[in-house]
Amino acid sequence: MPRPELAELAWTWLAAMVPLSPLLAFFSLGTVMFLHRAPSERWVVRQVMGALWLSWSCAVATVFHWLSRPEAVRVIRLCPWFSSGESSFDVTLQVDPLSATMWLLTSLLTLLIGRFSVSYLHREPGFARFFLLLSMFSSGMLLLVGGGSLDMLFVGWEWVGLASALLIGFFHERSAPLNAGLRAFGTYRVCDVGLLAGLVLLHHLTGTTEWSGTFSPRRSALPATALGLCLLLAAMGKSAQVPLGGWLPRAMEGPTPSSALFYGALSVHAGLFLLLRSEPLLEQAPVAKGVLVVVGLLTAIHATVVWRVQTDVKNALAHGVQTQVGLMFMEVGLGLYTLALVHLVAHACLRCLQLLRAPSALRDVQARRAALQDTRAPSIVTAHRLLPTRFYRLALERFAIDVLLERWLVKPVLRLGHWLDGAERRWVDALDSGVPRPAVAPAPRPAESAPSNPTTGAA
Amino acid sequence: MSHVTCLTSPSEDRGTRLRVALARASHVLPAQGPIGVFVHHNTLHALQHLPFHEAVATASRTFGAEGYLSEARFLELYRQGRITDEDLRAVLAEPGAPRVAPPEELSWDATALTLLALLHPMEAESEASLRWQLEERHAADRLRADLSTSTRQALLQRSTEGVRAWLERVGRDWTMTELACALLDPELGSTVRAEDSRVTAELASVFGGDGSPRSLREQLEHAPETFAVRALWSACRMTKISVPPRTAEQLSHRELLLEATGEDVNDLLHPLLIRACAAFLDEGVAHWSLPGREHGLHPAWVAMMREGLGVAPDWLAGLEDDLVAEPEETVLGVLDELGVAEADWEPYLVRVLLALPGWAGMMHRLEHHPGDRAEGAPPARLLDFVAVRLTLERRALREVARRRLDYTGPLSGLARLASPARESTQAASWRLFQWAQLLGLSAMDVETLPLRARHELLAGLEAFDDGARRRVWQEAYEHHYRSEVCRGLARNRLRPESERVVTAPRFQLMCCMDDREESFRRHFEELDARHETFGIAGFFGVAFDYRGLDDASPVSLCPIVVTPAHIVEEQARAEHQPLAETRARRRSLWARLDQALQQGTHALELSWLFVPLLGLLSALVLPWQLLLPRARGRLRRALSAKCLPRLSTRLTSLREPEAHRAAPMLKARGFTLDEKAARVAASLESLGLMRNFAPLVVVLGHGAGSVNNPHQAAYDCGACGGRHGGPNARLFAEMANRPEVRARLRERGLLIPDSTWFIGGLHNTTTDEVSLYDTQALPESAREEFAGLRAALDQARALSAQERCRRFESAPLGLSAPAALRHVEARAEDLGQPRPELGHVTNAACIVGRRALTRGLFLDRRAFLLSYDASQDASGAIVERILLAAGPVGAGISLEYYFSCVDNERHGCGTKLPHNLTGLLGVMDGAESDLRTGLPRQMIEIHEPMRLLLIVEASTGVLSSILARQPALQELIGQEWVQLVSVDPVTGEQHRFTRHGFQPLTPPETGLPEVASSAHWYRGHRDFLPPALIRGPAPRRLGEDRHASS
Repeated sequence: MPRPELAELAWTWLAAMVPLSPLLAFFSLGTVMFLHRAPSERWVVRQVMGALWLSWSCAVATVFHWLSRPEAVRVIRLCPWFSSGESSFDVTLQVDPLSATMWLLTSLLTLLIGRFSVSYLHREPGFARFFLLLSMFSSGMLLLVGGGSLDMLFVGWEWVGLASALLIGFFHERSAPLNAGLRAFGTYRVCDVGLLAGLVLLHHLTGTTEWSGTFSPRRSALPATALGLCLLLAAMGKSAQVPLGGWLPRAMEGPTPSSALFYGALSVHAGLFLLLRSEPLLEQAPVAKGVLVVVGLLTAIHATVVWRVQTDVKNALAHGVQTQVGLMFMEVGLGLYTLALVHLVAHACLRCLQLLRAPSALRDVQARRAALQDTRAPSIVTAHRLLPTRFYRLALERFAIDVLLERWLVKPVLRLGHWLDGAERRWVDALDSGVPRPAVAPAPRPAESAPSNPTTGAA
Repeated sequence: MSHVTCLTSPSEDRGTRLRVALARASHVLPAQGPIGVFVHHNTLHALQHLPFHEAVATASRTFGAEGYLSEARFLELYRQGRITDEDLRAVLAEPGAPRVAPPEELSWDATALTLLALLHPMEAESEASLRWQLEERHAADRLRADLSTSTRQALLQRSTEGVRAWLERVGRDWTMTELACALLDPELGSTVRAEDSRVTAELASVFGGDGSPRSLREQLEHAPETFAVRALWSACRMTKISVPPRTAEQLSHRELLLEATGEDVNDLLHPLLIRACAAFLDEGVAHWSLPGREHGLHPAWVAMMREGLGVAPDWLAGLEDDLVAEPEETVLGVLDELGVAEADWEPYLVRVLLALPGWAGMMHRLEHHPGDRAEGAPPARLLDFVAVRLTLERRALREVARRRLDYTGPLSGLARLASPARESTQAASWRLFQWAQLLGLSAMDVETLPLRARHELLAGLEAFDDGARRRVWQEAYEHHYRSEVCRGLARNRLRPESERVVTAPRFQLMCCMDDREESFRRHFEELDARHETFGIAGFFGVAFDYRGLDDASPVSLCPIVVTPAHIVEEQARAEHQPLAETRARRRSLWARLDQALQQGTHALELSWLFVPLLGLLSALVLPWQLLLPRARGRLRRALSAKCLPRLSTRLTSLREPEAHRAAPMLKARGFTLDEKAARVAASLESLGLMRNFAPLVVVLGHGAGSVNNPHQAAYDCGACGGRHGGPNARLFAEMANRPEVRARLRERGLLIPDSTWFIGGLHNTTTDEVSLYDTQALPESAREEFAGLRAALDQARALSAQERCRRFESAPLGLSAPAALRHVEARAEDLGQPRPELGHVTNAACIVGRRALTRGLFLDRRAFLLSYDASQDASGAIVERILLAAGPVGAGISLEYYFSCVDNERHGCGTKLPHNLTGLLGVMDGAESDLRTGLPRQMIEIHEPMRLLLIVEASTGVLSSILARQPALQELIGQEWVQLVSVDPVTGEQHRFTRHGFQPLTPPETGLPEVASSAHWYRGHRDFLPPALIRGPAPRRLGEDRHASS
């Protein structure tokens, strides 16, 4: 075999190791835990942190290798996955400016948070579980941002969503984290409809979902708009935009580092990444871009008003995140893709640090007050003074979006479901009348039995 | 006019009575204030007037909280040898100890039976768990696995003989059915009456063979165990026992509904209630505060709900009709609707308050301690809270009752709907069955016991319930430690006086009594025989409000029970005044910048600009902050040293006696010379340091330093009200160095030689750093000695860090002293470190007496040490003062750790990991929860919960008269919240205080291990170590021996 090909193979696998090494750690740790062994903290740390270091080094190496090459986009074809008829699905990775940035950011932040968590979760009963989910998230996120097609992104997307919901419910002895986790999970599922529909539509329209080949030929505006709106729905759920963002503040139930990683830094930006990836598509769908600007603007305004009345550090940060992500949506909608990417990276690092330092808030305020010697520094938070005080309640209730969603969306859907369920029973009974059937007790109505459950989750 | 009065007065009366009931009910609430200051106190302060065990029992009924460690944990300690049979026996031998009285037919003595009950606790079995035991774990076929071999053999032998006799009777005076009843089931006779074939089949299926007497006889030789256990189980079931139902506490409607439906109305109303409380109490997180909150929570909330824009959830539809301006009227209205009779108001309000104790407690605390917050804070009133809560709760109750129970009647009728859970009817028989096995009773033995005796046995064992058993375990646990320490003291006393008393001290160290200083003092003394240390409450007897150079407002530096009458300020020296102004200006500039950045990264007004710019910067900061904590800390200090001018300061502590105050309301600024002399004299007297002064005396306050830690104040000095004790030490040294003060002291007969110099300092208990103040004022003659002192302190703090590190699981065992020092420094700066230090986690004892009593004894950082010399205190006045100051502080720390440890969920605040700082007041779990009070799990993990063992070197006569005089001490000690032991200063005899007066203690004669240095004893160990004797260093010159630090 000639040497260049061998080298090429090595570079291919080096790139593959970026998402693969945390995945391997996930499986090895998962197997041990599945076999009812309680691995020692030291062993867990060696496995997972080793994998994260490896993943980061491979990402750095791959990116430098790509930079040394002339081509702007490098598609790495790992293996065929499956094919049906004309369509074939390959496992591919793509290195271009967007994914290279995101790979570096993701692997670095995961590594840092992993390092932080080693001491932070020391002696916690869920220590191994946390690192299991961390490696799961890491592999999912790296696949999401580095995958070469919408299919790859979808796999990573789901993987990240699952890890996210499980980490929100990390403290499963209490009910609030479980409800919050279920709520996030439910919102994700609803918004997956958008991603799945987009995926099918794309296959239908172009026969492939690979980024490199998907959006190049110009098409008529209508399918592009439909596609854009589908992806927008998916992105809105993941990135907590109005009116689907109610899960984000509630998601601050997990350990602080996981909140920082998911909702300060990475997972919450996944929706935005999807939009950035779909740049060529969005360019053909001005309506979708317009909707994007509106959603982003509404989110930013909503979040910044609500932020003003938040009295606890983590809720304040969650709304700060929403404000910025809303702005980024607007930037994408206005066609400022590079700005949005820079904004994303900057925001991820900043918010991650702020969330990790959330417990310091008291000392910070005390230090500031001492240094100001009881004088007041001018505040830049002034815009709400223009609002009448009647709006305070609205801000405190977060614009009652959850109540309205439940009233206008969830309950009607549930009622429809019950009606259909009843109709089907009657219908089946009518069909095989004469045969005695055991009486079936009506199932408890989920919406009523668990009102604290997430509305969308129940849906 | 009179008509109107007539109408209103009953309701006003009702209002007054309601307030009284609420005031009484509010005692159950936690007393913790805003978390910026953390003062340790007895978690069960409301029950402190009761004896300890009674209070614990009451608390577990009221709060549903645990009062002791679990039995499983005690049994683990028993297996580890941390509690022995001797301890248990000693506790059981005490008058008044709970014991099981055996019926006279049984040849067991009470102690043995009680021990058996302690070692084999029975769990309550429900119907289902009992079936599980019988079917899946074959409990009716096999004897308990934990029986001793001899018991087992004897039981089997007697039982086999008995069954053999039964088999003989078949055909003579017994039918097969009767045999089967005796062997299998007493009910069998009534179910399969007279059908011999089915009886035989039943027997065959259980015992094997064909079920005939002959075959059974064969099987009996094969498998006697099955016969023995089956017959025993049958015999036990024959004993019909009815267990009296437990009397239930009064439950609120919420609890009743929860029991009946499994749905908690809290889930509906808490999000609204918590948000309202947090918005009302917030002290600076939010930027838009609740409109009208200066009127109180209820008015502001009512106004908001009436006038504000918003959409109420469906269950709150029609809330506007419930909104009444008067909180009293609201509460009375809801209580009437719920059907709570006036006599039940107090217990009912207790249940209501305990549904959200953290927020209610904060409301209550701030109502009664407005000083906890800045001036002009909105008025907190518990009644407002109750009114809002009940308004919401009424709607929520109606909703849940309607939805889950289809109940739309008046809420007062809800009480009838609930049904209490029931224990299995066989549960009592099951316990008798287990007991019979443990006692080695066969089926025949059980049957020969008269029914009355069986009842008596079972009732006795049932009465010795979980609470009583754990009480005995707890006392045995304490007994074990008490004997170890008392033996240590007794053995240490046997060493020659010359090894324990310093005659010509070179350096003297006055530390806080704190348990964390024990190791530091010990190591300092081990360095040289001429090093002497003392312990005193860490405010050194000078209570004042202090305002440091960088502080905004003064804070009290003294125990929480003292209100200072003086203010002391730190000011720049005259020549540095301009520098001080620069410093203040730059700091203020920094604060403005910091605030702008903080707000600018959140608020939309500027964050569109700030986030992209600053974010890129933070990408560089993030790895640096997380990966290199120690370097980060150094850089931060270096930067602040570079940017902020360093200047020398002084304390404005001197006041002219005649200088009349500007206004009589204001506190005096500084102390007069007389006041200073009085304070110095009092402290030195209480230390017993009246002569023999060393050339250098260090006065060392302490405090902790950590990052990212809302509970930081909980690690600070308790005697300084949860703050750093450095200023107190500095002031004390300054006062004692002042020639005018020394002259006044000389007049009193307290001669401090001119060659003696006092130096104030601060010991950081997290990093073990020791910083000394005002060293530039040191006289020239002392400079050389000072270098030696600094070296000795550095050596001692490194060794102390090494000793601390053995308790950190994440620090490798066997760190060298310098490495240990680096380790603890990194911990203090690490953002991801929830255990910067372990605080008072090891505290267990408090020893008041001469250092000669404890010098050379390894106490494992478990003891508060207070110096006191009984020979200079014939009247007992000094020890009385010491006990009054140190007793409540020590007990507060000990009991807070105790309760946070035994029930971390109820009394503590759970794990730190999801904590979320709220309103700068406290922490919540996750996004929204109750305010969590008490200590986090990371602070109590390795704690051994015991009541403080207070050992005082004073005669029993002196102590008895103090107890009689001081109700506060009488309560703590007489009600057994603290254990008191007296060590006679002359004879060394030890007496323990019990409810029946002082009882002599005779520690065992066995010797103690003796080691060359502390390091030899602790090296390589993680767990608690018992006391050991440290062979003191032979008098030698400093610096010769450094082996301990290598």
